[in-house]
Parts: sequence; C-alpha cells; structure tokens
Amino acid sequence: MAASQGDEPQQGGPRGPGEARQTVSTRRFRWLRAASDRVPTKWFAGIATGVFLAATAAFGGLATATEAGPVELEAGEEHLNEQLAITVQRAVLIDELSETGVTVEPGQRVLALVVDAENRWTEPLPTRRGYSLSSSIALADRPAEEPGGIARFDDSTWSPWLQPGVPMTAVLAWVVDDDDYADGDELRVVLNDESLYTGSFVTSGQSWDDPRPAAIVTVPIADVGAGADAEPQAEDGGER
Amino acid sequence: MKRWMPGVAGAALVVAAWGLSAVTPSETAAEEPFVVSANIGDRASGRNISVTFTDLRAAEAVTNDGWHADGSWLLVDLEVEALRSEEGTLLSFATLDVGGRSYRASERPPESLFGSQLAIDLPHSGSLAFELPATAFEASRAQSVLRLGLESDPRLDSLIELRFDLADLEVETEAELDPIVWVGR
Repeated sequence: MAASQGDEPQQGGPRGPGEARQTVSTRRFRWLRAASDRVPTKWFAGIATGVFLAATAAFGGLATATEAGPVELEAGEEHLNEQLAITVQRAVLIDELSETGVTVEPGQRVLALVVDAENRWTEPLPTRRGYSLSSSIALADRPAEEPGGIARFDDSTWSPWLQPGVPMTAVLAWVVDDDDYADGDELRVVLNDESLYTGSFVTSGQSWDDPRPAAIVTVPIADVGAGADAEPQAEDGGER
Repeated sequence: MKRWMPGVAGAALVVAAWGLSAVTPSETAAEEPFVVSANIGDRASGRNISVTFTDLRAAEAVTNDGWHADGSWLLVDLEVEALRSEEGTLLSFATLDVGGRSYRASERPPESLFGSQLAIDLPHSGSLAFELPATAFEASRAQSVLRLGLESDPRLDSLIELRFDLADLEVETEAELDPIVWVGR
C-alpha cells in the first residue's frame, strides 16, 4: 500500500518526492549491481552442465544402465530373498515318483529336484500350485511350467507348508518325456523372487506374487533308473 | 467476542478432530473375528465350536501313528465339539503367534485334530502339533497366542484363544500325539 501511494505522485507530477526516493534506492543498491556484474553469469549454464555430468558420472554415466541379470549359482549354493531361502541340492531323473503326486504315462519319466528351503517371512507359506516353492522354482527349458508335485523329502508329506524359520528338504517333480534329459546333462534351474502384495477391496491379507528370475542354478542330472526302492528317499536314507 | 476466543476455539477443534480420529474404528474392525478367551482346563465356547484345552507339551521329537519327526514341537491336547451344525464343521484354523511370527498347525502328523470333523455334543479329544524353529524354546520369555476356529479365513466367526508363555513349558525329549477318541461326559 505504502509503495503504490508513493508511486502516484510520480505519475502525476513530472518531479516529485517519488523520484527523489527512486534515486536514493538506486544509490543504495548500486553496490549490489556492481557485485553482480562481476559474477560470470554467462558461465552458469556451462558450470551447471558440468556439475550434472559429474553427478551422473558418479552413478555410472549417461549410458542406459544394464539391469543386473540373474545370478549364476552352483548346486549347493543358497539363494536368499525376502520370502525364502532356497538351495538346490541335486537333480534326479527317475522312472516314477508317485510320492510327490505326479503320475507318468508310458514314454515319460520324472525329473526331480531335491531342494533345501526355509520360509524367511512371518507367516506360514503353502507350497501348492501358485505359491512359494511352486512359483519360485522353474526349469529354464520350460519356465512357465510349475512342478507337477511337491513333497517333503523325509516323510513324503504332499504339498507341505513352510512354517516360518523351520527348514525343510523338499522334492519337486516335473513329468518329462523320456528323451528330454539324460544322465550327466547340466540342468539349469531358475529361481524367482516374488513381491509382497497387500490385498484391499475384495481381497484381504498379504500374499507373494509376480515372480521374476533372480538366480540360475546349474546342477548335473543323475539318472537313477527305477531308483533304489523306486524313490530317491531310499537311495539316501542312510545320509539323513 | 474476546480476542482470545478464536485461538482457543481453533485449538479446541484441533483437539476434537484428533480425538475423533483416535476413536474411529480401523477399516478391518467390521470384519474382526469374535475372540473367546480360554484357560487350560476350562471349557470355552463360541458360535459353533467348544474347546477345552487339557495340556500343553513341548518336545524335541514327536511320534504319531508310526510317524516320527525331530525338531522343536509344541503339542496342544484338547477336547473339541461343534455346537449348532456339523455340516462342513472342521477344525480348519489353528495358529500359534509367537515372537512376531505366525505358525500353522502341522499337517505332517497322520492323526491330529487339525482339519478333523467336529460333532455336536460328542466331544473328541486329541492333539494339535506345531512345528517351530530350533530356537523356539530357548527364549526366556515367549508370549504366545493360540487361536482355533472353523474356517481357514477366521473373520466374522468365533475364535477360541489361549494365551500362555512358551518358556514356561518343560521340554521333553520325545512326546506322542494323543490318539483321537470320543470323550464320554
């Protein structure tokens, strides 16, 4: 308000108190202009660009960042994520493995993975289709195919639950054509990481979904024929 | 109007708004289960389930019907019956909450009460088994909450709840699940 009142006389009379004030203010801020004139403002764009490039260089430069691909692991090496700890121990080719819930037609065999697993979450996890081990472990040759059956290694409990912090050895079985794999083949197993979703609206609670490849385990296949006692459990019974 | 009045009124409104948000029930409150507290030895009844917890046992190995497993196990002995309806009335919900984690009754023992059919006025007794991490019995205090219900989704039905301290239990070397038998009254 005070400013506009002061400006009015300036517009009205050719010389008034307003002009005098302007002169005073011009004089008062002359040092500022003198100072700012010395700042090399023309260089600002260049300096800013330099700083920006230096900052990006610190994070790897302007080139498109390569996404970290799946980690390569060997049999017996553990893969950890928020949901599970998974160690693929060995791969077995066997004539049949009904304990895991899979049935074989003539011309087919069973490819079984022996896996150590532990639930690292706070809630129990089922292993049936679409959950935890079933959606986290896949064969690189057939990534969309979940195991046909899962059972505990020790007592053959079918589709067992993973209790938090309680380790379990599981057998995952896929039915394959008998010429798909052979003894000594290097099997590539994909381990997926899943994300935790919290349900809302019609769904409720939390669940793990959206599997994404995080590790690839290379494990040699052992052909055990009909299996000692027709199952890998008996073969290693003495070890456990 | 006194000059201080708007300030006081504004502060009062802020306090009132805070109080209102504090007493507003949470979004899930409308679908919470109806919890019935139980004590060991007393009968606790909900809508369609009645439970009498008879014993809690901790063991380093369990047996049941020829099956055997090592590990840290909690066995819950109880009598359970239905009250209104037998159709689809299974003991489907049995969880143990301890140390910020939730465990589900084990499906491994061949003959446990978990998932068993309940009958009206014909209580049967047996055990539930919980498989826990190796260190479960080492803590000096382990406040635990055991909840039993009829639906795997426990919302909007009765839940029988037993609170106890896991550390109070003496750990046996081996324990056997009680066989499932009808209880005469």
